[in-house]
Amino acid sequence: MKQIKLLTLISRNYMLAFLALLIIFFGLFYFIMRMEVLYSIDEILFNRKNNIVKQFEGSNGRVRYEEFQFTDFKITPAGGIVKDTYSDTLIYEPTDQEYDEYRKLVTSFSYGGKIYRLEIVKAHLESDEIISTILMSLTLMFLLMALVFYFITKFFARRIWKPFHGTLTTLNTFEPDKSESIPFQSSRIVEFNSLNKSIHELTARVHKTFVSQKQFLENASHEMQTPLAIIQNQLELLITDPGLTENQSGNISRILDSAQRITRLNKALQLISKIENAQFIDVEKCNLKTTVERILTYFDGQQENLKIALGLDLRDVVVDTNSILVEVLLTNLIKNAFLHNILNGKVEIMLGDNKLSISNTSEQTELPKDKIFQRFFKQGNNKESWGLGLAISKRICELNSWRLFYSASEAEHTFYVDFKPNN
Amino acid sequence: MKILVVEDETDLLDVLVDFLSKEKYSFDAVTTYREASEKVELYDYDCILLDINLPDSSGFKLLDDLHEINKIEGVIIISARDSIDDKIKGLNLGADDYLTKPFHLSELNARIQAVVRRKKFETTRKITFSNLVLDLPKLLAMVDNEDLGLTKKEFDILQHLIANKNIVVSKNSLLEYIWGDYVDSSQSIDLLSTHLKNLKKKLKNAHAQVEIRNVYGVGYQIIET
Repeated sequence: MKQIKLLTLISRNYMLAFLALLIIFFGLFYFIMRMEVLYSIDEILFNRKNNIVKQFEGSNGRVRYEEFQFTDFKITPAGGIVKDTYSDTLIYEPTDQEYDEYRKLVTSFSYGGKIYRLEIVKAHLESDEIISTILMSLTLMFLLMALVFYFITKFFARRIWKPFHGTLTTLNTFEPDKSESIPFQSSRIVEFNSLNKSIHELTARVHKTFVSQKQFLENASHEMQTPLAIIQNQLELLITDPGLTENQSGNISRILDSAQRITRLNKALQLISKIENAQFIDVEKCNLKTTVERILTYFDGQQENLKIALGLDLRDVVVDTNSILVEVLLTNLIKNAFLHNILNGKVEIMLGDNKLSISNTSEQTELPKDKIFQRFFKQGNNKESWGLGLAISKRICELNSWRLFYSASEAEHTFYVDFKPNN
Repeated sequence: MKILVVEDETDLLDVLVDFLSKEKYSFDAVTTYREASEKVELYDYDCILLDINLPDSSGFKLLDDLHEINKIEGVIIISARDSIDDKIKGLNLGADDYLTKPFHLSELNARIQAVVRRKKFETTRKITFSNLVLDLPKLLAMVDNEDLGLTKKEFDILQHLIANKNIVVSKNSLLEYIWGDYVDSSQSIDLLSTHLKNLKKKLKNAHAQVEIRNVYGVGYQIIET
């Protein structure tokens, strides 16, 4: 959706409404003016009629002009009484060879027992000119007003919205873990005032929630970890007992494994929560090339064992991020590439241009793209896996605004990380 | 070598005490800050295992006290709080290491030895086991001055096994030792076997008089042969 500034939208709507109103108003104005003008012309015509009739009577019927040539009326004998009719008419003006608009009154009067038809005309021209002049000046005035309105709003808007933009800037830099709340700044404008107040209260609440959640997390893990430590360490002591039979050791070992699965699950979930609570906030410059190279050394054995062909194209990529998290991300991805591999398979890692791609051969066919990054997604029946590694990787990428995605072709799986997805 | 254990959870304290006696350490075990601060004023310890959440005060306070009375004990914080802030705070207050519960006894053992080694300013920084010599700063394992050519991980595993020669080191603890806290190590059993296979081969080729025993599939133990 195309974004638009609130003020632009408001002014634009105002202008459109203004324009629509103006058109209606102009129409109405024109109509009324015209009515008014016609009315006064008709009045003049009517007075003129009375005048002519009076003159006619005064001169004993000698005034009689059949044409409008030299005067504005003509009197002709009529058969009967004609009702007073006002109408518009065109009269040919031979001088400039065109028709001019006239208003015409057709009426009758009786004199000396005879009925005469009287027609009086009056030119419209002047009144039309007046109307169009008025309309012109009104239009010009509107345009000027619109222009002035535009600049004035722009000028005032900048001043009036200044506190709003200030609030927006503080809000953008608000971090629930660091700042307690955004301090309340009172404003003369009621809406801004209540906005600032709400923001102050909201951020205070967010901070409080953040702190209590963090505390809850730590308490929960504390309560869980001590009993787990006791179970685990007791069992570890027990398996060292030389008097144990093989059967007993096996049983203890299975209990120990289960206890450790809970421990690992607990750790993984805590890690996810911590990432989501943005508790890894220390950011430093990390050279990913060095990190990848270090992680690769963990897999020397596996590479040798499966005779994996390792293809590397590593160039320096430096990102600002949390060093622990980036290590977790890269270890997870590289570990998957080596662990889910096949004999005589290959692993290819490409790093450069703010992008990383890790691809590997595997027995697996394509994995469901929409599910692999979900928590507890498991392919097959691997009870040793919680399906949290990729979920954690995804969270880490989201936290850093990086893009992590997956694609597969035949039996080759590739994970990509784009460290500058917006460029 | 003397160790002070400060842990308010008596069940856990019992296990730690059992383990330390098995490892032939001499130790004192206390459950409160008050007892602990009395002990540190009276005696010198090579290493203090310190829980942060104590009933009468915080373990951080004991770190402050040690600083005040100018005692440089090797302190390992044992905390259930896996919080980075706490870790940094502890290390800033002079703790030598930070171990999050639950931990493996073998891991604890290795850390205790590392702290004690550091405290004694051992110039050689070498560990000897049977005819094996581990040069810690150089990450070299040697038999008769001949380098075995171990990878970093193989060296780590060997060192960890030697540090825990008296107990069975469980597979999981080795895994975590290799992968660290934050990586889901559950699928890495294969990797571990690979590392161990290669390590055993290298030890055999160099005629090292040691054997890495697989104990009933539970874990591993290194023994002299």
